[in-house]
Amino acid sequence: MNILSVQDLVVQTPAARLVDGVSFAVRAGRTLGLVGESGSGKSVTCLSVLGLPPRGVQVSEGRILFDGEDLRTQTPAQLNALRGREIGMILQDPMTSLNPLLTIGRQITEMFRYRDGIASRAERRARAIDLLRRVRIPAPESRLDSYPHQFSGGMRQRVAIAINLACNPRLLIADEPTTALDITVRLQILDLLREVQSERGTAIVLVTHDLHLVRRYCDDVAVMYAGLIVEQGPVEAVFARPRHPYTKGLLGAVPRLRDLQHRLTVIPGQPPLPGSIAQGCRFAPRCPRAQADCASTYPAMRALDSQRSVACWHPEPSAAASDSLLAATTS
Amino acid sequence: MSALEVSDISRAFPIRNGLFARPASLRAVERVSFELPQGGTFGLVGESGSGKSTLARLILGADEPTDGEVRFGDRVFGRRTQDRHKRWRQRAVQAVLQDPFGSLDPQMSIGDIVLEPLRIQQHDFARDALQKRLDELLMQVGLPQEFRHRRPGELSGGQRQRVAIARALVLEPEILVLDEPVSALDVSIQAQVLNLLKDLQDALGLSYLLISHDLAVVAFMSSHIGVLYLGRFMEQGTRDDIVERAAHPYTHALIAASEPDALDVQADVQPISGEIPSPLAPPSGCVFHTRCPAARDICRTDAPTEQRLSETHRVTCHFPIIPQV
Repeated sequence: MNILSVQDLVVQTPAARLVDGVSFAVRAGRTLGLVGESGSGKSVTCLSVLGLPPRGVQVSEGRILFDGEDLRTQTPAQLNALRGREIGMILQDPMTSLNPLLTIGRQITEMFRYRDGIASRAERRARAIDLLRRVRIPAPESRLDSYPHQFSGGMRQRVAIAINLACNPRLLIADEPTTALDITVRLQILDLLREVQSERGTAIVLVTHDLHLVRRYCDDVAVMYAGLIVEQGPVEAVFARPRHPYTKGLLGAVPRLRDLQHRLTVIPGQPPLPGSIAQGCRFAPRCPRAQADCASTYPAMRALDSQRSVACWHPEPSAAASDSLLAATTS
Repeated sequence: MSALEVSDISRAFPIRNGLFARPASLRAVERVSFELPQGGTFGLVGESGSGKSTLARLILGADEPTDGEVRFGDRVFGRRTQDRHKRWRQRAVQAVLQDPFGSLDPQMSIGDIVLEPLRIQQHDFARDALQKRLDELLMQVGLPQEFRHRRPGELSGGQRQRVAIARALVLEPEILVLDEPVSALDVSIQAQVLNLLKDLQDALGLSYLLISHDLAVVAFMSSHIGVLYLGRFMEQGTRDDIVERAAHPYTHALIAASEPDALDVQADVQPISGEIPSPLAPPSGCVFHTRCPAARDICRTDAPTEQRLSETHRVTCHFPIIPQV
């Protein structure tokens, strides 16, 4: 059962289409990694799903089905109610989403007061302490009266997760949740998210540029380039044998610890700017496999098997094809 | 022959918490020693508060050590020997910093930005000699010639970092201090810049001091690696000493965090918990003991001394993980 299903989403400013027909779905208890470089449209996609596109940006086409209901037809008040309860979000730096003038305790307890109508102060406080303990913040009783700036980045992210836990969301959108954190703290936060997910069957969309994290924490991956998804499928399969030349290039561009190379594989050039996009495949100017037809028509997303799809006229060979090629050359 | 030799260098910043508080000090770098071989790369890896940027400033001469010395061949910089070779250091040791936008003046043209250090150091440079040097540098860093008239705002992050590299090269330095040179860049651009830095090193015989939080980037670039935690070296050695024969539990934690499958491979290595303590109040004994899965009583009370595991490999730990041969 899909918790979230996005269909042909188009998000644009008056001048340019930032997201140009994107479709993906996440099931309960699963994590979808949305990867791409800056400007690929991954954050705009997520903010649009949340009904919070940046100023001047509009969702113009497509459907955003949450539990079968199109979020685009909901009123702002209905959306607000959903965001508080059913849909949670975690952003890159919680310092920007927490109020610096209020104690952590106040920010957690106000939710119990206004949303759940709990009148007793002691009761609200006890619930907040319980939440902080669940995200493993040491000595929660004393930390409730601290301000956000008195927490480290990792601890602030734990608070953000705690606030989301209180909502018990069925869908959690995490936009680069660990990018600002130190590497040894990063994994702790993601482990915590995974723990929460397995307890409650939350569906998670994890937006990141870090391919290592996708491999470790996601079930499925969607690779975005210039406002479109170019390849999609189970993480294992896509990482083992990427079919889109961009996915392959990205994987080759990351230095690997135990793989001594003198040079990294490079994707030449740079991604196009929104608005400057020609017809045809958007990756063609940088693509080592590009041929004449790539520049004229955009390749639609097509299914490779029941789980994988790719948008490319000349994809990398599949395992079977390259094995038979190998057999042909060695014989 | 070493391009750079750092011996027992420390930097403490005096801290006053209030009018009547006892003066304390933040020991940002504590007795660090290492050597950067000529034409090689020494990679410093560490998380926030590890003192890696303070160390970079000490080597660049932007800050002075409270103890110890920095030696470039026979030129020694210690507490009292600052001035004699200052001009040499200003030319021969250059930096490339993390944020290519923050380090370039938005009002200046790319050409002026690249040539500025040369104009300051040598006033008598002829006009066409300057232009020739600019042509050469833009080509070396892979930027089109017409970029000389553009301004930083018109460039992408990767292009700006190329400009910063050209500017660092204009005085024909011997050593480049690279402080998180690719952390602000996208993956595909990161690879371009790392390859460029390697090519330049091969072509110009440069020595690099590379600072990064990313062990994979450090391992890709470096011949030697030092692992910093709260201002102290936990472990240092050749690239293989660190990546293949890591002995310190912290190094193991960094490896596990940088390699997606490493945790499954080394099931006996536990992930570390907790956060980096404040450098203002470093833990007693071994500074890593609060997060160390292998910590015992002695780690809480006594600071370990550095042990030599081989000619190149040194570790500071009471209970290093020695691989069974």
